[in-house]
Amino acid sequence: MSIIIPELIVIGTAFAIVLADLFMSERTRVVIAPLAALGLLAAIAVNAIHTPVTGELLGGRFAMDPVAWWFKILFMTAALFTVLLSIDTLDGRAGVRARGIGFRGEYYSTILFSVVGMMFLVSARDLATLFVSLELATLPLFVLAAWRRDDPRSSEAGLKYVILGALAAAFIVYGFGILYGLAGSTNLDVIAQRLAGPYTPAFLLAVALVLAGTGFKLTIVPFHMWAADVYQGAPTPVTAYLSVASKAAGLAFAFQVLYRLFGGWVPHWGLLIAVFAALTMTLGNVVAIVQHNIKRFMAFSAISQAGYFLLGFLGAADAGVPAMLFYLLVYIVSNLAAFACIIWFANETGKEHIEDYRGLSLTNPLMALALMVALFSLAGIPPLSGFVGKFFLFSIASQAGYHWLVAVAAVNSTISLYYYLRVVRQMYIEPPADPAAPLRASMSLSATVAILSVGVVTLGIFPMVYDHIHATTIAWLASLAQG
Amino acid sequence: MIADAVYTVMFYGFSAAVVILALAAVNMRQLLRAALALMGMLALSAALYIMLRAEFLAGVQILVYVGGIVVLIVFAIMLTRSSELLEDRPRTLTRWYGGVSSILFMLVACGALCTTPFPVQSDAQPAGDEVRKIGLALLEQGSAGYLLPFELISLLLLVAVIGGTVIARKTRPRNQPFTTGGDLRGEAIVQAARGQGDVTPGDRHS
Repeated sequence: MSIIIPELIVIGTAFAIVLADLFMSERTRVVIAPLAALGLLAAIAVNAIHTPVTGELLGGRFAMDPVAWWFKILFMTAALFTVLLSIDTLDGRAGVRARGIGFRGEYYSTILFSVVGMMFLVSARDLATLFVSLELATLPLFVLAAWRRDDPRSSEAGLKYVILGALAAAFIVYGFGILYGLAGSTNLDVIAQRLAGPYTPAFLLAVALVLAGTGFKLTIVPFHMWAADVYQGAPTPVTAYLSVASKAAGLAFAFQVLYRLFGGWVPHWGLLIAVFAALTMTLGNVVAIVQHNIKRFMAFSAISQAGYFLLGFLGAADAGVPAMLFYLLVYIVSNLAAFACIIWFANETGKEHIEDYRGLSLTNPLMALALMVALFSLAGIPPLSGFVGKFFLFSIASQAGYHWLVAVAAVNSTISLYYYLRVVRQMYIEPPADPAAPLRASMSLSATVAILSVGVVTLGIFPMVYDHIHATTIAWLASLAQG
Repeated sequence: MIADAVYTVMFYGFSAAVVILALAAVNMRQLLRAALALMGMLALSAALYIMLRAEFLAGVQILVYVGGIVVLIVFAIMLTRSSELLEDRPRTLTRWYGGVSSILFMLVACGALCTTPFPVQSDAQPAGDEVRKIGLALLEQGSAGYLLPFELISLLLLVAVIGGTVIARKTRPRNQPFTTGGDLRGEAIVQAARGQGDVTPGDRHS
């Protein structure tokens, strides 16, 4: 029973927020965000300390394993920081208030429900739960993208996201239907066993459909076209959440599909995965160079990062799984740190162009430093955690024999360094536009940025985290081989 | 013999009608007609389910899709002026691109599904209590049950309702305070606090 307690805590918090919001006056609604953060913190603590890393519930329909355990911690951490970063924007504690954003109770509960969907997604063991929890994870994101209702770009983002999301869901459910028809069972492990054998045409069709849907969730080129517009139009804290949590959920779904459902086949699909990885990295990086809006810029940066994640699927699972999980942790921390600064800057100035960041090192040196460290980590500069994460992924691709892909990835890292440096140049070399008036950051936001920056710096220096991920996931792979 | 022939003719007749109505739903210029074609298509696919002895699925199809979703679409069309929005036709290139890619997808899917032998369950004779079995399976907690997805769907519907109310709620375009976004009662409170209480609580619609 205890393996489901973190989920129940998050669901309970979400319901408490919805109910409390009903009876609160507009002034007292400021307590909603701390309530959501406390609920997530409690769930993380319970998951980390109390929950066993293996277990089953409901006759095996809900299962906990070390990989799910790590994913749940990552999902809840991403949501916790998103809540902390949203406080200033939603409470209007900003130099330039974002108009048309409100409904605090609904906002935080929608985020929490999305996290619940992701947590069930990674524990699902049959097609029905997998699909329903995937929808529960993504449907709140459509709503959140359209949250600024008097901003046409936000509505456009929501509409594009919901239409293309429905298309991806249709692909996935069509593929699932064919898989059920072929295997006669909804259990993922049973399907994997019964379909082991020569390819049938319908099986290939199902694989193509499911992988296309997965590519949509992970923003793999050519299924990435929604990302830029949605990232740009959504409210900035939501963009931060999308870039980390939606990517984490996409990776969790890819794990379920590629390791559990098609586990026997993936070693034969290496070239296909490698081509998609190369395409995704290259397109994301090349298009990011010419962007002016920083949210759009981060969208293409996130697309190129998805290409790096794919490298992990190329090698043996015992090396790939811990490397991808570690890079996911690094990516979440680094990207959230960068977005924390972007959210803060948008709150203070209402601007989101890269050129607007000029002279930030004079107006707020600490924020500029935090943004620079986060961007360098995303680019993979050595002492920072991004370098270590990328190093593991590159070495997997290299061991698997894809030397050309490692070369492509290395070139892409260099390109990415160029465009991340564009932002740094604006902050440190260009003079500020106006006479430098210092910009201030609120207490909660400064604390969040500080915690995230410490994470960005230390995760790469102290090897304990990676060792721990590696040690626990080996047990998962052993259980996968038996099942 | 005759019963079999009638069954076959009816099955293919319904199938052809479903395809024609689905094409009509996509291609109709007027939204209301498209919605009606969609309704007919969904109802006829319910007929197909009945012929395949999937009575429960047919009932759900009628209740949820025909009775719920299409009626909702019709309401949405009639309450908004969305019939005027579709005046501009898509470009010829777009139409060709969409047509060719969907026909290609149809050919690939049909080819793949026709050439694959699907395993057929041996007990083809239904026992007559499928609805009861399905209902019990949805609530069973064991390994044969679907309690978890069934409960998750309730969360999914709840978050859809919450999101729908947030997006559709009446907004005032101007003088909108930062946090309330259309919540006029909260707006009145905030504006009173700012000392410019020009919002009368009477004009809210909550």
